[in-house]
Order: sequence, then structure tokens, then C-alpha cells
Amino acid sequence: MFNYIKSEFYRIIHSRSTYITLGVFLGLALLINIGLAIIAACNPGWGYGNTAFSFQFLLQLPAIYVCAAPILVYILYDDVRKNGNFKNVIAFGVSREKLLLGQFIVSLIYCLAVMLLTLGVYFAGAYALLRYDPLYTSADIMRQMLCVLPSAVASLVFALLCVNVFERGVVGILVWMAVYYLLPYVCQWIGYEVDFFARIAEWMPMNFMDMQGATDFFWQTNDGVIKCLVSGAAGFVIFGILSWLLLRRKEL
Amino acid sequence: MNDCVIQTHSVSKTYGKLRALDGVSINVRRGEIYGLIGDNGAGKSTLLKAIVGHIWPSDGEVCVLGSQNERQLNSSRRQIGAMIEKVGCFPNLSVEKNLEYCRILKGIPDKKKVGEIIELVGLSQKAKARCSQLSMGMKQRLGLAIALIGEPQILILDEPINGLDPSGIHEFRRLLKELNARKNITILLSSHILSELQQTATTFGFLSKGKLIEEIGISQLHENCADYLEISLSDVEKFVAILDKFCPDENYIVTPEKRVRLIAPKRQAEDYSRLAATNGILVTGLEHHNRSLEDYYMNLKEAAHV
Repeated sequence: MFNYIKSEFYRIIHSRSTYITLGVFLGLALLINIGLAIIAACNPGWGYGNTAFSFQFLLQLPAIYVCAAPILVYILYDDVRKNGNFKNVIAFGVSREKLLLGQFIVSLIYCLAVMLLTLGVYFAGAYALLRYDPLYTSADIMRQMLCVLPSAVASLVFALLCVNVFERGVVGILVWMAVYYLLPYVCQWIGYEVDFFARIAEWMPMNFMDMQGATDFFWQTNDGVIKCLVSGAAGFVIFGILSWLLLRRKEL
Repeated sequence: MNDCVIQTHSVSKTYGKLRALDGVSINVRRGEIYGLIGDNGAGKSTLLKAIVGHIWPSDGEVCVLGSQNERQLNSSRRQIGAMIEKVGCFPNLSVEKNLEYCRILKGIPDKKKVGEIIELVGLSQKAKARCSQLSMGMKQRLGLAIALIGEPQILILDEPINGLDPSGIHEFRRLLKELNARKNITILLSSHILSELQQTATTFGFLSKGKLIEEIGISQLHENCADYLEISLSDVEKFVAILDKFCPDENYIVTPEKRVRLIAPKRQAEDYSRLAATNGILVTGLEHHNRSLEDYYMNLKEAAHV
């Protein structure tokens, strides 16, 4: 498995898609702050050309980490499966369990690297281009990121399951969206009638992340942190077991 | 049977109602080139996939280098280089980088191996080319290179000459024979092009509708496929005695229809007529038969499914 992980990193380092993806993420991170800086320069009285507003924008979007995971997983593995490279790995004697674990480790490290680089560029852009305002700082974003991380990892595990189970990439993405977006809404709606579903719905990441206000963030409360950690851990375990059950005997 | 590197014991595979493999047992011995012959859909790829672990048999067992259980099989499969169906490569990486990926994956410390394999399969000119730019034939070569990296004991190739031009086929055949002879690599390859396998393989497994209808060595196959002369005579016993006396080098059988069948006859047909006539035996019929591997396969298939 260690050799598989090493070979995957060799591929990632030498693939153009890696740099294009990273470029898009970093470009977007810069663009937001450049946009704010340009608007602030054009409108001297505009009150949002500061670091606090820039950081608040990210703080209001905790689900961004959960959504970024499947995008990166599909960029990493969708073509690999289509091109028959998994068949080579299996034929080389790597078991499906080790292949799955290897994929998880590789994509986790890759996603963390992309996320940290993107955040680094976002912070640098904000501090370099915008007026400093201590209301929200990069430390707040890091705290939020750490809190959301378990949910993002669970989302990554589910994305890996989808990429391996469904032959067509678009089907896998739709299934991921159904589970992460549609299912919480459905549970919430049923929850208006059946209390049990309401209780389940409030533990679903997209629901509790959506319910936060513009300034009172869910991860600042004990209840929010517990929901983040428990739902992330539960997702990780459920999707992990599901992956093992569905993929350990999957035929290629 | 101890010299078998690959064995399947009554392997069956069903997909819904379709029985792709039906109790197939093959024995691939160390150092041989085993040709799996069958029509499209006969079960060749399914059998090879079961051997390399892409699929699981519904019934029966696969044994590679003496290993049968899943954990040991995975370990033994590290000694296999395989190219099954589509060549698995990263289209946006160069030939060299694809092989470097496989070198790292197989844990081969020597970086020079990549260059050596590229040269061995004749891809030196295309080493820096991206795989998406390769022709079908070049991709097949890359597939072979991927299979060969790490000097496997066994090579498993599914329809390896598909897409190759005539000179490519010739070169491929030469390479396989060289690998087999010089490095003692056991090769298991499948094809529906019988003439190609006839020139390469030393043992043949005939598959039809998921069943192994015959497993046969090259010398036996040559014997079975050889030209033969069938003579109808007034006195078969007497002619046989004369044959034994005057032509002891001849290989013949007496058919149930009481004809003498000379397999790969060493003399002209007229010589046998003359021999019979001078001994007072009347020749009532004389037919020369040419039996190709195709004919042999078709006969086998017919016999198996009657």
C-alpha cells in the first residue's frame, strides 16, 4: 500500500490537472480579495474593503470545505477508474481494501494541501490588499476549518465511494448531492410532521451549517462543535463501512 | 502437477443467467506459452480476469504459484504482469512517466529499469510522448511494457496483437518467444486469431461457450492437425501388415469405417497405390485431407456441443 501511495503522489505531482485545479482554487481565492480591493479603491466610502468582511464571507460558507472534497476526489480519481488504471493496481496484487485505504490517504493529503494553500493565498491576498480590521481574523477561519474538518473528511469518504461504485462520474456526483443536499431537506420536511426525522435532520451537516447567522457562527457554540464532531465521525464510520461492504468484492 | 504456475479448478462464473465460464480447469506449466483459443464471448477474458483478481469466480478455485487463498493470491499476483482488455495508462502522462508510476507501484528500486523496458518493447522514440498521442499498436506495446516491468515470472496477455500492424505482430511474436526462452517467463495469452497462436504457443486451451473443450500440447496438436491420407482398400489387414513391413516409419490408424488413415504421410499417394497393387490389394478410394487449426477447432466445437 505504501508503494501505491508513493506512485499516486508521483502521478499527482506530474499531472497537469493537479496544477490546473490548484490554479483555479488559488485564482478564486485571490480574485475575491482583488475584487473587494478594486471596489474599495473605486468607492472610498465603501465600508467593506477590509479583512474582516473578506474573512466573514468565508466564515459564512462553512459548507465550502464539505463541497470541495468531492470536487477534488473526482478530479483525482474519475479518469483513473475510466482509464483502467485500477485494474493494473489490482493485477499487481494490491487488495481492494488497501487500494481504498490508499485512495483515502492520498486524497486526504491532497485535499488538505489544496485547502491550506488556498487559505494561505486567501489570507495573504486579504492582508496585502485590504484594510486590516480585527473583527474577524485568519485565526477564526482556521478554527472554523478545524471544526468542519470531520464533516469534510466524511464527505471525502463518501465521494470516494461514489467514484468507485458508479461507472459514470455524473451519476456519482448526483448521488453525492442527493445524500448531502436532498436528504437533509427531505428529513427536515418530514421532520415538521415526525419528530424523529427533525432530530436526525438537525445533525446533518448541510442543515446545521445552513442554520447559522451572519455573525453568530455555529462552531462558536458547544452545541455546534459537538454536532460537527459527532456528525463528522458518524459520517466517516457509516460511509467507511459502506465503502468496505460495497467495494471489497467489486469486480472490475 | 507441481510445475504448474497457474491452475484453475472447475472455475465457473455467472452473470445473472449468463454462464460465462462453466467448470474450466486449466494447467499452465512453468516455462510454457499457453494459448487460450476461443471465439469472442467464449470466456477467455473472463478466465484471465479471474486469474488476475479483477473478478471472483462464482465457483471453483484459482491457484497462482501454489497460492489459493485470497491473501496469498494477492502476494503471488505480484509475480504476474498482466495486460487485460484495455491498456491501463494515464493518457496525460508520457510513456516514461507511466512506466515510472508502475516502477514505484511495484517497489522496484532500480530507476534504469524503465529505460530498459522502453527499449525492449521498442518505444524509445515515443518515450516522451503522452499516452493519448500513441497509436493503438504503440499502446499495446506500452501495455506489454507495463506488464513486463518488475520482471514477472508470469505474463498474462489478453488479445495482445489486437491493433498491431503485420510488422508489429511479427515483432511482438519475436519478443514473446525471446522473453520465454531467455528469461523463462511463463506466458498465458488469449486470442481468437488461431494462426497467430499456432506460431507462438506451446500448449493450447480451447474454450467454447465458457467450457474448456480441450487442453493439448503442441506436438499432439501438430499430430492432430497434420495432413492425412485416407485409403479405402479391399483388404485392410493385409495392407496394414505390408505397411508395417515396408514402411515402418509411417504413422497410421485404421478408422472405424475400415479405412487406413496415414497421418502426415511421408510418401506420395501413388506410392501407396502401387504398394497395394503389387500385393494384390485393390484400392477403392484415396483421399488427401488438409486440416488446419481452424478446422480442428471447428470440429472440436461441433463435437463439444452436439
